[in-house]
Amino acid sequence: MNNFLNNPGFRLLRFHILIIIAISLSFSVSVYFFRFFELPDYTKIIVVLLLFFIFLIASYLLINKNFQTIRKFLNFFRPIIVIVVFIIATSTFIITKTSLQWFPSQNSFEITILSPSAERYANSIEIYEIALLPSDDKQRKLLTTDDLELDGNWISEGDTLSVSGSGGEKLSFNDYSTNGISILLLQGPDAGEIEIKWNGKSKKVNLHEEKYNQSLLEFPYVFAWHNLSSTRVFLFLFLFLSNFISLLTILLFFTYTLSKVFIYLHTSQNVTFLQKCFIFLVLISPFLNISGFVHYQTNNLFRLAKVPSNTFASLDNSSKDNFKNFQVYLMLEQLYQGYTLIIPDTNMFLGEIRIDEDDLLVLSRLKSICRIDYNPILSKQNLDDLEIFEKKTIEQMGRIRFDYYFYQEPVSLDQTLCVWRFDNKVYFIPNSDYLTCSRK
Amino acid sequence: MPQLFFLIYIFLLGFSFGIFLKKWIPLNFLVFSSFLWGSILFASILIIINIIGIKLSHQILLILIIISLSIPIIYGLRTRLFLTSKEWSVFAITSISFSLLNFLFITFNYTLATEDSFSILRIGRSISYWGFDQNAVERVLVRGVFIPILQSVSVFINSDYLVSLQFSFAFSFILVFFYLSECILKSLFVNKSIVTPLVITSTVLLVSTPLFIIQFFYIHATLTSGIFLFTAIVSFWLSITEKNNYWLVFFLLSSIGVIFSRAETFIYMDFLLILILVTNKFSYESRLKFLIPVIMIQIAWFLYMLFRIETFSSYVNPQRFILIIFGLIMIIGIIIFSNKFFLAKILLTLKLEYVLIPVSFVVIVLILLLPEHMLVSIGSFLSNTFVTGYWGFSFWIIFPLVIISLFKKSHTFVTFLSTFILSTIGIILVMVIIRPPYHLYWTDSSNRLMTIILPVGLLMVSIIIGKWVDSPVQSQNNNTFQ
Repeated sequence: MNNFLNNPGFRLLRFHILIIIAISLSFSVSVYFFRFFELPDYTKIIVVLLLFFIFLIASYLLINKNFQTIRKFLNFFRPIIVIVVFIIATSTFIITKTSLQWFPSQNSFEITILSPSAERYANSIEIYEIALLPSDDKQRKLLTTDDLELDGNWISEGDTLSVSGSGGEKLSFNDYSTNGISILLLQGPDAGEIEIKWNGKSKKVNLHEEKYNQSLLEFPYVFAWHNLSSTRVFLFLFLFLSNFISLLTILLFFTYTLSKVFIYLHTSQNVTFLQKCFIFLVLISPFLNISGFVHYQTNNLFRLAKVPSNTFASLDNSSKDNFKNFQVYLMLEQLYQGYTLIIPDTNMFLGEIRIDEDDLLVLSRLKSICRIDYNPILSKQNLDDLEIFEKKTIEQMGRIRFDYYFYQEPVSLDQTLCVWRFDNKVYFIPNSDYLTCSRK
Repeated sequence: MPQLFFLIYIFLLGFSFGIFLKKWIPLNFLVFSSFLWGSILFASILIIINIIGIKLSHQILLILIIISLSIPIIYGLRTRLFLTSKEWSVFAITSISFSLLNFLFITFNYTLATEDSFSILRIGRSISYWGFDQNAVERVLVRGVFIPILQSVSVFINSDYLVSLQFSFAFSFILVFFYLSECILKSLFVNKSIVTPLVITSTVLLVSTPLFIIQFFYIHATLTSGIFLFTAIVSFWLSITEKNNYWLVFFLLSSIGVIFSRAETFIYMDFLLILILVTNKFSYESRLKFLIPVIMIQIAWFLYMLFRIETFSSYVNPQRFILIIFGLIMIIGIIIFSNKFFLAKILLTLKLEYVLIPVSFVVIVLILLLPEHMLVSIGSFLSNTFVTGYWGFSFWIIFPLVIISLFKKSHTFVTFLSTFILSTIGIILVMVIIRPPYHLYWTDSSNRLMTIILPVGLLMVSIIIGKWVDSPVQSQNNNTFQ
């Protein structure tokens, strides 16, 4: 036996086993703890490499000393090896399946304009917006003509796409993601039938209505093997194999540890049966805890995931609770730090637009807030006049209840800033002769 | 990477303070806990600076850093305080691991934030711009000052927030938990061979607890509350078992950490002081030297708050402050007169478990007075502890032993820990009367407060299990079977 163990060939085998175990553990842990498939590419490499070295060292320290004992365990399992392998394989499949929600598959979305009915000579379709549905970590994103493949005489005006023809025009979108798609369409007397294909499924929608109306269709993300690339099939199989090897390794060490403990307890004359059961429970609790953590992570109960950057805005976007209007304060800080904000001298004006005075001073680092009696409601003419200036926008979404617009021009010579309103929109415009709030 | 350098500075600050106690306290502990003491020292300096009214700036921060590191280095060199090569390697491995792991989690940011977290970050920024103004002081009374004031430094190092601050605390704590548990268990057991497996098991249980893992990344003050209460309890006990009062220096520092972590954690600290008095393990001189300063710091802080706040609200009102200060003065009185007359006699005859009687009584009275409010809160609390709070199986292990230890004759330290756990739960349940009822799931305040109990409970579990398997007979059997 000792000759066999010291055999260079056996040592090489042992080394390869260590490498395989380290790779398997590192991949499995990175998927379930670090949400591997959602990481940027360079992060994937670094995470897996780091974990690989950690597990390699740990495996070397543990396995190297106990290799002889582990071989004994394999002998112990021999009679029931089929049952053990079956249980591990089943567990592995279940665990691997839970990772599918992070597994981006190819999304293919296609709209085909069908031929108009006999009474009409053209099928007019107007699409107000196509957007990617928010997934757990990704916000809703409007798709533009740059993202879409358009086939036919499509006309684009702002976010709206329209086409009028005898059928056959197509619009398609493809990506690898875990986002669903929503599409807002116009129903009306000129509209006809369209065919929507979403990841292999097809659906016909008739948009013809006597009165104009809107129709919102949503196609949520569901993992599908449809159009799964060979790379991703390989990754899935590799993950299955890694999980299998990881579970096998953990099982071996777990039983090894338990056997050591049981031998010790068996010889203990002063430990009762109940105490032994309790000690067993304590020993398996860490595994139960870790299984619990994996369950919470896969169901995103903690929302513990990599934040895109170390900025407040990233933290706010990725957090479970958005800090109310945090983005607004950050935008004000970015554009108007040190300005004096002029607001109307009416009660609760800031509260109505969901802005907190203290946060304006602390987060936005405005110099001061000044109250002046002026009418904060903009006219349509004012809005038209402002069209020539560029603006930044924070749109109404979630806890942000208004559309906020931020202008840097016209320039304010005394660094004062006025707040204006129009409908559900709030405007921050520098105080200048072009549009002033400091004179009645 | 200015954040990384700042965190390393805190680590070095703590080490440069701790190293002067090298003769009396094991160096491993001083190295592992460096970040904890460094953070307390630095936070205390910032608090004092803000109380005085000095406005912090980049230049003042830099001067502060240079002076705070230079003084101990120069003094250490003058007193020829050197490390052996083995001690250097412990320091090197720990500091390098600390630095690398922080670098990793600053680069791959896994920070978790809720609305409470943003409030804490907001308070920090407010302190950095305007110091302890009315706004900051009011909010500090709700959220605590420790984490916000450390986060306030981010403004001066051009960062939005300190990304891996929580991880730094967690890293230090895991090492400290392992080390202190080992110290305690070695002092309690005849058979030393069972210590390492027990400590490894309890540490693995701690680290595998889902909601504990989350707190590596969650910006909040509950983790530091739990850490410093644990170190306060164990420091106190080690000072008694080893008859080494230098452990009480860390008891004092831990107390400061507890007091300033959250708005209400001073209550748990004061309750711990009462438990310490009841154990009667402290000499009268030690009580005066180490317990009274803890109370004095609290009185000074609340007096400062009382005179600093310009306008009060229903939550922050002068009557509450006066009540708190009065209670603290009473505790000082008990400590001062604890060696006199009937008080000394009462303390001698009082058992630790009796402390639970008034707590239980208050809880029962509150249930009778506000049945719906209390029962909803208790129901949510229990559900969170065992199922919905994401603590895994850790409390399924801890609570049966807590209950058993109360009814069975146990080692004094086990009784101390179980009494502390149950009284903390009682206080958590009492505190609900001043706020809406507790709710389900992990973000509930009472659920997060269980972080205070978790490490204490796991230490208790390892002691009890160790006692089951430990015996002189057992160690003989082991020798036979090996």
